[in-house]
Amino acid sequence: MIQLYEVSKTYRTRGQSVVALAPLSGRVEPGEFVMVTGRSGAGKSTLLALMGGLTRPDEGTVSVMGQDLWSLSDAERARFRARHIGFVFQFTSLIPTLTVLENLLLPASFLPPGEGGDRQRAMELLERVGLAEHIHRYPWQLSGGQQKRVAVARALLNRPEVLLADEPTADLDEETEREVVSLFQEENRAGTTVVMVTHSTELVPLAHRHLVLSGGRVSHAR
Amino acid sequence: MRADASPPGPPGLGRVLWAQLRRSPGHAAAGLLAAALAAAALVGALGLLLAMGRTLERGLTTLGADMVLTLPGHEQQVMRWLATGDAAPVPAAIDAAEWQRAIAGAELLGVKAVEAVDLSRGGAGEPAGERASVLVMRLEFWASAPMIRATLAQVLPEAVAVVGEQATRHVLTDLQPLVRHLGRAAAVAALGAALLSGLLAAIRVGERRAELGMLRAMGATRSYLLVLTVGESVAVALPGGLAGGLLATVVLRLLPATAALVRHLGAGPLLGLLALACAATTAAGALAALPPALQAAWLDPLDAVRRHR
Repeated sequence: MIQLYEVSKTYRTRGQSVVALAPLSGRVEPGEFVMVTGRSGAGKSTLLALMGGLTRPDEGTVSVMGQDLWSLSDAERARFRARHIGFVFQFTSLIPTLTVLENLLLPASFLPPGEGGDRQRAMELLERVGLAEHIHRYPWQLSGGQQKRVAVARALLNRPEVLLADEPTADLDEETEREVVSLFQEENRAGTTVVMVTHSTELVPLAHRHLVLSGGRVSHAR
Repeated sequence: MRADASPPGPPGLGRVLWAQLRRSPGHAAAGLLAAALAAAALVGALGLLLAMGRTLERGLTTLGADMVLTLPGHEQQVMRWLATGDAAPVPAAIDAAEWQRAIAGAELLGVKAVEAVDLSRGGAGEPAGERASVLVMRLEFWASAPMIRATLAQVLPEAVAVVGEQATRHVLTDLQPLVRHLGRAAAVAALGAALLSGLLAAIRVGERRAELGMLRAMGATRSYLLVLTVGESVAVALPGGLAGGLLATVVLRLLPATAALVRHLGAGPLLGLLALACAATTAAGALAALPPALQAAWLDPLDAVRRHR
């Protein structure tokens, strides 16, 4: 599903080079749930951004569903992301002047009509996350946990084959954390490949595989 | 029932743009006002300049180097008549035949014709009978107005001579400071509006980096973010420019000092000026928003979503 081959990434700021990811190869199989942990600056988010085609690797290739992401043009890669990859970040970044339903439907606007999720799909997702009654509310009228659930539903709207989550449960209380993770598990059971970056080691047993990153390298894999 | 009111499909670029505009009503109002001021000053200055040109052209074309004789005390009305073709009433107190005889007797060089005009009812005037308000002298192009005026001062000492071109220029000179001020105001307002538009766009991009990064992650292309950012500036500058331009047009038509001049312009040139002002303010807004828009389109999505809430 996701194939990394000798992928590396170094950030250069103020004349200094920081190796975010040393040359790394690996695969994430279809339907896998992979949890990535590690200390701050270990390269977890960079790994996720590389898998999603958000960041260009300095070297190596990244393929998702057999497609080399960096052989595509920017517009093609954007379309590929919209169609096949869902992202959830720590901050929900919902647009405050769009309703919950509109925020949820936003990813479909980046695909041709009929290719993305529709209103029915959005309503299904909102039912699943328990927010069907809130479709006409604005994000600021929801709690942090509810906003997070909208963000997860938004990532799933276009029925992506891959779900990439970067610390989606940070800042959440235990109950909301459980809700969010169980959503990921549900999606995973339905066939979606999930890669989740987290600081919470308690969540690790829920995944099929666990990678620990340290200094831009995989220091431990289970 | 409420579900029916919601849009049926995903929000398009226009809907997102409108939603973004609603987020910062203060920014939108400031941009709108700046564009309106710039357009108003632009339409005011260019409108007056154009109207002055038209009036001067009209005065020179229709009157050439004509000279008008009248009785003392009516020079201002005659000057305005010459400049604009519209006069306040001037009493018909001149014995037309006697003055025409005096002119003929002076054997002036370059006089083509002498016409008596009655301006006692104001307006454009009409051919006079025995009594006239003014005597219009049609001169050859080579005739010397100062020489004719000097000769007339001897044969018709009670007459005052007003030269057509001078009259036109005299009337227009009154408006020149206004045009200069408006021109400066237009330049400053246009520059200010452009700077403000760029600044507001930069602030918007800075405030919304996380969302822009999220949009990229969701599948938005660079051109989408570019159009979204520039579009917000355009959506403010266009109505602002239109409102300011319309306001300036109405004021120009209502102000006594400018109404007569602008009347000669007609609707076509004024609409053209309005369109020009709208286009100029919109283009300035779009151009000024371009650097922040490019920044938005090329931001690092990962950095944007992680570092900015």
